[in-house]
Amino acid sequence: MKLRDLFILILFTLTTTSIYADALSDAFKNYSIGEYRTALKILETKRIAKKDRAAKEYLKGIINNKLQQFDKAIPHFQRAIKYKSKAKDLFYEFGQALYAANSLDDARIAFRKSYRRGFKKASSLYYMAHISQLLEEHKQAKDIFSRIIKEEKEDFNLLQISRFQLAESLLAMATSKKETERLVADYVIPQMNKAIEVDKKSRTAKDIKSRIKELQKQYGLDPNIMKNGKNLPEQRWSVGFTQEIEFDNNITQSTDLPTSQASQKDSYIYNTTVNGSYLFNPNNKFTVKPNFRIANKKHSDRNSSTVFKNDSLTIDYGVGNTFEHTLFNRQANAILDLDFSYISRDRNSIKEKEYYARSWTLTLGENLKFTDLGNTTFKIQYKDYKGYIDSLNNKTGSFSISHSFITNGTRLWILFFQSDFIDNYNDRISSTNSYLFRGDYLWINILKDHTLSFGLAITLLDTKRNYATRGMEKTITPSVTWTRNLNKYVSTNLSYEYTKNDSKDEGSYKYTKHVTSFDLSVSF
Amino acid sequence: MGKFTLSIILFSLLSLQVFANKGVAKVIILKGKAEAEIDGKKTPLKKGMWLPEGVTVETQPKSFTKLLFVDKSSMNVGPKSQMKISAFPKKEAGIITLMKGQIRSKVTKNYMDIKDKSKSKLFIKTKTAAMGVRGTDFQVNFNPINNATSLVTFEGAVAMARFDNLARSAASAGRFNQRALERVVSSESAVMVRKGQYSGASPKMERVTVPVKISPIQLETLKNNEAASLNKGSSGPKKTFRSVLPPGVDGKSFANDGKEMEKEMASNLGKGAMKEIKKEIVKEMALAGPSVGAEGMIDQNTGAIAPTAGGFVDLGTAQYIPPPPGSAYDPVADVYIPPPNVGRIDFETGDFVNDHYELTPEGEFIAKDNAGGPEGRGPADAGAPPPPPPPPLEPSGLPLGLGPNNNPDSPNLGPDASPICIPCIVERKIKEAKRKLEEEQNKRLEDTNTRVNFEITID
Repeated sequence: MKLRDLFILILFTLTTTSIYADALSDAFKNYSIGEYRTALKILETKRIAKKDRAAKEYLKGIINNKLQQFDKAIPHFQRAIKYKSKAKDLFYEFGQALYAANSLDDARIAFRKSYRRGFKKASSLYYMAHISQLLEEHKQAKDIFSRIIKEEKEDFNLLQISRFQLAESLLAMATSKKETERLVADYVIPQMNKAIEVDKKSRTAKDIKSRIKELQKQYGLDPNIMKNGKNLPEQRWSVGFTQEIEFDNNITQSTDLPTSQASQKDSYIYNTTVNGSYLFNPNNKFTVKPNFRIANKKHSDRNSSTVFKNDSLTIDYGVGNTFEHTLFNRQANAILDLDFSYISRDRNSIKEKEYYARSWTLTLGENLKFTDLGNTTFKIQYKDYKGYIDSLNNKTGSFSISHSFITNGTRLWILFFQSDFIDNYNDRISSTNSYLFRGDYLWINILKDHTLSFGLAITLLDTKRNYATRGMEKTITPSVTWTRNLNKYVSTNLSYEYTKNDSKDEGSYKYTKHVTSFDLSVSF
Repeated sequence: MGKFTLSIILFSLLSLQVFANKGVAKVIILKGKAEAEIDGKKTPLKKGMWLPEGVTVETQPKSFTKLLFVDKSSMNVGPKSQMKISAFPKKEAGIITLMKGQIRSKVTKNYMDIKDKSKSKLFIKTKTAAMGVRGTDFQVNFNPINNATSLVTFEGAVAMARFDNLARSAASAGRFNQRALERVVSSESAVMVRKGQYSGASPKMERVTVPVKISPIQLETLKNNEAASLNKGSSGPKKTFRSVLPPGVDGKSFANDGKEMEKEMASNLGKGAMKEIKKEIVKEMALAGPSVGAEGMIDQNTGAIAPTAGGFVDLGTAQYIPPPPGSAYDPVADVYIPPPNVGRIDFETGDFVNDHYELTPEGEFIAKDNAGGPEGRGPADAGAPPPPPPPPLEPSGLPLGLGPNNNPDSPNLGPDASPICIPCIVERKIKEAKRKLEEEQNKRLEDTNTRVNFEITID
């Protein structure tokens, strides 16, 4: 070969190599600025040197991955492997393409190779474990997740999700065994709790918490869900405080008649109430709710003894129990309540409260749903009331029924009936039977956090031995209340109530009164 | 055909000065049907026709027109679009009003008549946004149903601000001039949308979104094809793939950072060549200007929102579809990649496509009529049920992890978490009623007792 020919050959080789290299560098440049389609077009249309073919196929595979054309990426990766590409991330990208294209077995092999090449070892392992889960090879998945947990020390997200998925694999294994519930309670949920501990504030932690709830519900392990499916509040205790200011224009219930000698007395009344309760739910079948309420009533009028003698302090305490079951395939509960009450009053008008009465009440009932229209509650009640003097003692048998139903999502109707048969056994002339009919209509969220409610109560009082003089007394009480929830814990009520009592003995028992009140309640 | 178009453009450029007195823009390409409304009269648009200031151009479906302005700027009006050349004075910036549809504009760089180069060269306004064009190539979409405006800049920069009610009424009364528009696009709440970025405005948002990068695939497809919207679109749905990311894992920590690719290329191209390439890449990236992180952000003080980068712009509804939580991350473009169930970009039209669900102007994904039917599905997934719909869009496409449904600290607004406890209300009301009745009974009892005893004593 002549020197000239050799020179031409070298020049030709250098030029073509340079052209080929230019195409690859052009493609890489476009790829690097996110112009993936242009980069791909260059690689597809321009010639690339044979020595760069592995790099070309590898780059084409990766670009197709970026373009989410995983089916097109796969053959390029296969060719890059065939041309012995040394790129450390080749099998990781190949694995991702296979995984996205649902070639799961091949993807797992690719990720294993990626792990062996030392590229993104933890992520490669995670893909292997996750694919094993998809292929329902849970034992293998469990082993790989355990390995990640052992090896990974820095990536808390990966650590958390791996622990979570380890629990899922354990769950899958537990479902094929006999004692699934016990295994879920002893192994799966504790593992999920451990996963939450890794980073309590992460999104994954939130997902895990919902998953735990799902499992608890599914396997009857949720402490907040009763056997009949009734939800209990997570917070078992409740404490409340209410301060009410009331203006009553006829405290003494004096008759309106002009002939009446007793004049009507008005006064502000300060009602302060504190209450609390705690809910237990043994076996998720019963609820036991000890509760207390202390209410103090004070009148602003300190001059009229007929007014301030009504100052009182009432202490109520008791325990409400339910047995949760189903009736007509719907949630229902049987009720057994035992309540005690202690009342002290300024009965001698000496501006000091003294023991007035105490009582205990036993209530039996059933709360059920006949239809989807709301809940119905039946109750029978027995009350033993002992006054500071024997003539006040009485025993009362009661029957009540209430029904509530919600319409339009925010309109609530409550209908209530109660009949009381009061036997004043030491002074039977005072015995009465009373019948209360009451209806309430609540428009919840009439404005955001505002509720408007209307109520109407009608009481019929059979005066029994006094019937000849008093007849059947009738009390009508319409009322309206505006409630505003200031926040989750604080609410206010503004209400007005009108009362009209009719009696045959107009001179003594016929009266009307207006009560306006405002209260502020705080409850936790 | 290319040569023919080129010669038309050259001819038009040369003749622009000659015919300038006839109008401010000339129709140089017309495909399909379009109308021009001049002084209340509607005339079919014709190629070569000169359009005066105040003209309204409306295109029919599958139609498109390209206008060449006297300042050598060009504007493509997409199908089903309506725009008005509100003003186009010689020595001041022009004002274009987009009433519906899409315009793609290329504004000339050598706008010699405007002295202050920092000022806008052209204003585009829609019902919800005002844009001051400082650069060259951009696309604006406006949907008159949801009044959403989207802007994607391909070259240069466009200043964008929310068009509030006051400005809008002034504009409709014809009292809005270039100076007033300049004030809007230079205001504190205005943003500068640079190369490769998107910003959007809608009546639900107080300000336009902070610019973020859109999907590089959509950007590239739209950029390289000015009349992409006229294309037929790729036929039939594509193959269905699984998301490349296992559920629940962090997209960034599972992403390939690309360093191995650099090493691989360096071994093939040589270190010197790699240095040169890197220099060019840095230069190219600098044109894009600064941007917030790919995750997006919410500025609690100003209320500014940057959606997650890498999402798709739905050209029809002018909405941004951000990558949802669980999206893979692309470190090369520094964007998130929406998983396949969200949808894809049609390589022919550059528009967002979801084969199973349709995006409504209200931001909800509703099942297409043919979704799940045998005709609307490729062989790869024949018989398979359609994937679950993507989540509905937040007004601005809230950032990854900050949407109300995604924030672990935000209250659960699901049906189980109703703040109203109906049984509690019922129990309270009945207890109150019982207590009142009992009080009344005790009072009566005491009263009767006193009266009876009193009467007995008297007797």
